[in-house]
Amino acid sequence: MKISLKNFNLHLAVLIMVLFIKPVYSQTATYNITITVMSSSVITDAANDALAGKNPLINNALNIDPDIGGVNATDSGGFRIRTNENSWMVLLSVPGNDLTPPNAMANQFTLTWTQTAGSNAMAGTFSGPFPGPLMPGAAFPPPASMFTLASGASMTSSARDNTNTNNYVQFDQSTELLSDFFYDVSSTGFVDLQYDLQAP
Amino acid sequence: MGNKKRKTTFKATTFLLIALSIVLLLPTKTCSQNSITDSTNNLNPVFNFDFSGTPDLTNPSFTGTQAIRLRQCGCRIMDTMGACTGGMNITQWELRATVSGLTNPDPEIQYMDVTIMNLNFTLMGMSASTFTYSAPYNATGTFTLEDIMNNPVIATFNGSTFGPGMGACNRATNGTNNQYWTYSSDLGFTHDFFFDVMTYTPSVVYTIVCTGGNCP
Repeated sequence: MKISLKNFNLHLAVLIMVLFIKPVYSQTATYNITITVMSSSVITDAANDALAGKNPLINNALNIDPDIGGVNATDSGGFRIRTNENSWMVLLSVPGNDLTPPNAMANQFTLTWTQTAGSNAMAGTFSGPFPGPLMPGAAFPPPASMFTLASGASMTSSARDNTNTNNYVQFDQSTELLSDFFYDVSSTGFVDLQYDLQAP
Repeated sequence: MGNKKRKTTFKATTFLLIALSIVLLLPTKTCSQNSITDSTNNLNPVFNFDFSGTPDLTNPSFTGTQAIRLRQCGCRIMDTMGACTGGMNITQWELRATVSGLTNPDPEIQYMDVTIMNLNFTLMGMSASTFTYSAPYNATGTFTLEDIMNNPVIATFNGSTFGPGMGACNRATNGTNNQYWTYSSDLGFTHDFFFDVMTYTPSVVYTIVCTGGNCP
């Protein structure tokens, strides 16, 4: 095998390139992050707006001392909702009640709802099956079937709120019973009201 | 000149001998090397983090730890065994990060929502001690990918001594390259009811960049 001067120069050039070529070193680390956000709807006790306050059981106690010109018995409690769904509704139902022992009348109860919202929240719209829209202060009880108390067409959070402290919509329920000598003495009745947050 | 061409012939064996001699006589000139590996020294690692969760009243939510090994060889000239024999050291290098991936139309999750927490640099090996580092981000604090976009330098390493900077040059010692900095931190993601129900895919790419001395 013989190499001409021309080929020799070519080989020499290749050799020099091989000798002085810079090795290519890897110098990157890549992190591919996949974040999947699931649907979530949460109800908490307004007085305990934390994980421990989810799905609250709120007790209202109405104690009547009949008197002339007496003050009606009232109590209240609130709950907060949060959802990242763009469509939601708060449904109200009455799963159980027994007002027989106190001899109470349905039209002697009054329920009042008020809605407030945190600074990073979008409130919903009251609605209901009573004749016309359900107005705050509607007489108790509502129809036996479940009905919509309020609904929304956007997620409750209007802005980033990493601590979830101001992205809630709050509903306060006030219950009132007329003061009346008609009620049985030392008797107790009950009414269960259940609120469900649904985001289809 | 002219039509007369001189031709010189060499036997292939002679040519190869000359070439081999050149290789043996020249010191191995290797410019500053750097590498990023995972915890088992696989070069150029690609990590996949899958976070899935539902917004709830807790903060922060799901996290995942990231850890990589950083090596920067400070030598410019090494012998055939990989030991430093001369040349100027590099004096500064940086760990940088770039982020991308959140390009969907109006995604609710933005770079500001992905956090990096518990930033930590751990030194392994002797020679690496010739470098000190400073991290612009608070090691115990939390910063976001948006912070990185505004300031991509995660940490700056400075060294003024001649010789192997990160110890990667000391292959002659044990051949294991067990001198490195470990960069570790936690990726965090905060539960927020503001985020749309969907999947987001941001990415973070870390690189080593020589910024001082005789950079290659």
